[in-house]
Amino acid sequence: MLLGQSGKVAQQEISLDLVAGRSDIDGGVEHGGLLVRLCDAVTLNQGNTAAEVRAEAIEAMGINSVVDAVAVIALFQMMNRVANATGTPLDEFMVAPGNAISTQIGSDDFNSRADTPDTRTDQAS
Amino acid sequence: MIDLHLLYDTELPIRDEILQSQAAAVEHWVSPGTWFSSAQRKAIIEETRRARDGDDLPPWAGPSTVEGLIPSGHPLSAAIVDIIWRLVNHVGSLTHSWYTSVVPEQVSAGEYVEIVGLVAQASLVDLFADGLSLPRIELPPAKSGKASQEAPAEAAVSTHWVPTAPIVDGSWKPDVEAEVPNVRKALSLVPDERRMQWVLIDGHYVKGGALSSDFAHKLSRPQMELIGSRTSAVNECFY
Repeated sequence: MLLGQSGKVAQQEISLDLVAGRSDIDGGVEHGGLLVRLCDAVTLNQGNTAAEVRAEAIEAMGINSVVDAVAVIALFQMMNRVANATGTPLDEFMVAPGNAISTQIGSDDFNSRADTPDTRTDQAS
Repeated sequence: MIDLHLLYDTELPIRDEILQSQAAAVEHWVSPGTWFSSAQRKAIIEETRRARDGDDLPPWAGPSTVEGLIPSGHPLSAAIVDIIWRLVNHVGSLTHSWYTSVVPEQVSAGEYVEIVGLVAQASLVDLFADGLSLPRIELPPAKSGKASQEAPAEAAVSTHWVPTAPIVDGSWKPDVEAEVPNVRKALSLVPDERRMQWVLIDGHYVKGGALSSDFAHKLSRPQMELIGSRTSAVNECFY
């Protein structure tokens, strides 16, 4: 749900279809489709595919950006494990934007969804 | 301190902030911990690597259920090895009921949080190497010393499954409006793991965290947040 917060900072629309993996267009982010493919290949440890996507990304974005992209993908391996393994709920200021986009990106089905109270029913009643 | 240039034998332009934070992590891994000795901590990192490279087991089948998968004389208990494999390979499958099945029956909450910290940090460092087709960092020998066994007196179960403690060392950025985000206090039961998590965040992401204005990165902010969001989606992390 960081996306909801960072969207405010960057004041830029980012396609949620891209986050959900339903699109290979750039979705409002420069090289967005390529970055999503890099995330998937590196996170899922797809060796040959990762090497191919990385080479494509170096061609398109330059090696400095690709090294930093892999660093951010790696960082989220840590953050996701810390959050899911400790039952970390969304912060209060993230609940509303999180609830607003969770259905669209498919995260309502995640096991870790249960760690954050769903306030949407409360808001409707 | 580990020589930064010995971490990776590569011409790739890896920022010094990344190298420094990873060198600090490696030193941290082989040092005495809060609930585990340095040898046990090094074994946890090695088991994290074995799990990542190991057989593709379903979430409910820990390596202890497969004959011969845990070598005899392994320095860690079968329960800890099973926890490590679950954290490494099935991060999206973790539930509160699974947590209560292992804590406190198999490990204490403090031991569990220390394991989570180490596995999470090693997942970062090793996936960075794997993602760039670099050899993983070689682990130095375990250092001497004893586990401190010191826990924050104020720790309690409140917002997370695990007990958490107030952040009292003043290291959260005072210019950030929000309280310390929940994910940043998740490991606060074991302060050394929480601090190392923060060091790695600063080195690889945005110093001070996602809401900080201290932004100096090769990627644009939307690119970074897209990567974070997509990676979290693949790992089925709602946070």
